[in-house]
Amino acid sequence: MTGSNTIVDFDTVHHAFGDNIAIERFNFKIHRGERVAILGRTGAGKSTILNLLVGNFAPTSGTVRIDGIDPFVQHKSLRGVIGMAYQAPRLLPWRTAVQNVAVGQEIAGVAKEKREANARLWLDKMHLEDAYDLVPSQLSGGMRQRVSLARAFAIDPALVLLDESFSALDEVTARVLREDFIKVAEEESKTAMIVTHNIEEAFQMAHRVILLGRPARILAEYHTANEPKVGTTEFTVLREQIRDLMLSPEGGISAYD
Amino acid sequence: MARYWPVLSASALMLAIMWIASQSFDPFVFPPLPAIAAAFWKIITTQYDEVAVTLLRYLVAFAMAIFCGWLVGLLMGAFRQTFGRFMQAFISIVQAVPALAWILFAVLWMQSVEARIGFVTFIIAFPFFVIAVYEGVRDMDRDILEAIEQFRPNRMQTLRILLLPQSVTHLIIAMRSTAAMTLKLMVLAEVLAANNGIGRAMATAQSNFSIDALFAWAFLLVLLNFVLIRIISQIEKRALRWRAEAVVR
Repeated sequence: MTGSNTIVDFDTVHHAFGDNIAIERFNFKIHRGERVAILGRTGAGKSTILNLLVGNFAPTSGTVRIDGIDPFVQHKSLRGVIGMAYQAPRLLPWRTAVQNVAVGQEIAGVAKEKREANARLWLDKMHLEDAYDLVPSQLSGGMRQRVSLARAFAIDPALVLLDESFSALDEVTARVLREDFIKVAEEESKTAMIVTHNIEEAFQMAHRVILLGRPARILAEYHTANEPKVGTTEFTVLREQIRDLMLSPEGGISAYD
Repeated sequence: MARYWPVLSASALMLAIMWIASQSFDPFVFPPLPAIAAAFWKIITTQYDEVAVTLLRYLVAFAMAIFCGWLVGLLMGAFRQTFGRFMQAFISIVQAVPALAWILFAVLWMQSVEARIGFVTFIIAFPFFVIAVYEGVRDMDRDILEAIEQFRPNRMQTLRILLLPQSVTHLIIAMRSTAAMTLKLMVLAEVLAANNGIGRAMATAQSNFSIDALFAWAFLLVLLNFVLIRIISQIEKRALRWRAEAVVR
């Protein structure tokens, strides 16, 4: 960790797959302790941003840094820096909840007793006190996603990445999980990037919402403290404005349209 | 009791067919059930050493096939484009050779009975384990792999955390489908290439026209098969207890 205040830094990032431009002159920062939602339609380049962040490939031009580290060039240096939860929980089916949560620290070389104690602590925070020794096939969809979130937090990462992590759940379960995530992230002062196509989710979870056009470029930026609360009539109006913006010519078209 | 009704009723049907057959044919074609029972008793009280020899041979050769198959399958998965592709072709050729041909080759190539039987058993079982482990590694869920790779494991950690447990699943499933077949082919190898063991004892019974003993040996093999499958099912139950059972209603 560099101790810098900037955790994520995209500097004039451009990325193309052949003739298809996925990201266009993208400038974007996330500061320590901040929760930022990346909101966009399918094909808006959200996955490309995530892939660049975790170092799966390098940008065509521009620079990407996480806590001062180039995720592509210094791939191994990112060990313990990013904790990620996906749309599907992606748990190891033969491992118990504790063993799944402990896997990040196991890779980091933490002793078994210590990492399993830490895993139990995180499962407690995710309200899974009774599920320590259950395997994924014995857990409900919501419980599995809680294990996945606990796994992301358990390595004490500089950045927690959520990739549509609540979109496969029913609305009631998703809402409870979002609230629990926010509570834990605030208690632990965690920096988080939430990738979603759900407008309510973005405004409920983040301090800042970045609206992406297609190809990925910033269409608008919202500081949620200055915007109406989710569930109010004013928010419904804002939501319609955002939808209109996403569907307008400014929102852009992608190769998938 | 309700759990066992299929086995009990199938056994009863089998005994009934045998009884009808024994009533319909001469004793040297189909012996009466009490004669078979007496021969069976004789086997388990006086010829248990033949059974022990066969079981020991089987355990050693089968364990070696599992271990080597696991190792080669993992290596094929780790070096898919080179070793994996080469071994896949090689294993296809080995599997295409009939078991009988391997037995005859073993008789020609090897003097030691143990080496012959061990070789035949190994060469029959080994390819199944190689392919099962290789396919297990190849079919690894990419999403789970990606989720683990976010923690930046080294190759050994990926092997230990992901590939070994995944391969064990496929190994145990292969064990279940291979165990009984391998035992039967091993006994055939003993008939042709050994001077002791169950196969040899069956060959002796056949040349002495001891048809009751032949039936008793066959009955013992059926029992051994059941015990073997039961042991493997227990291993499977314990090792793969994390798997959700699908129930069709």
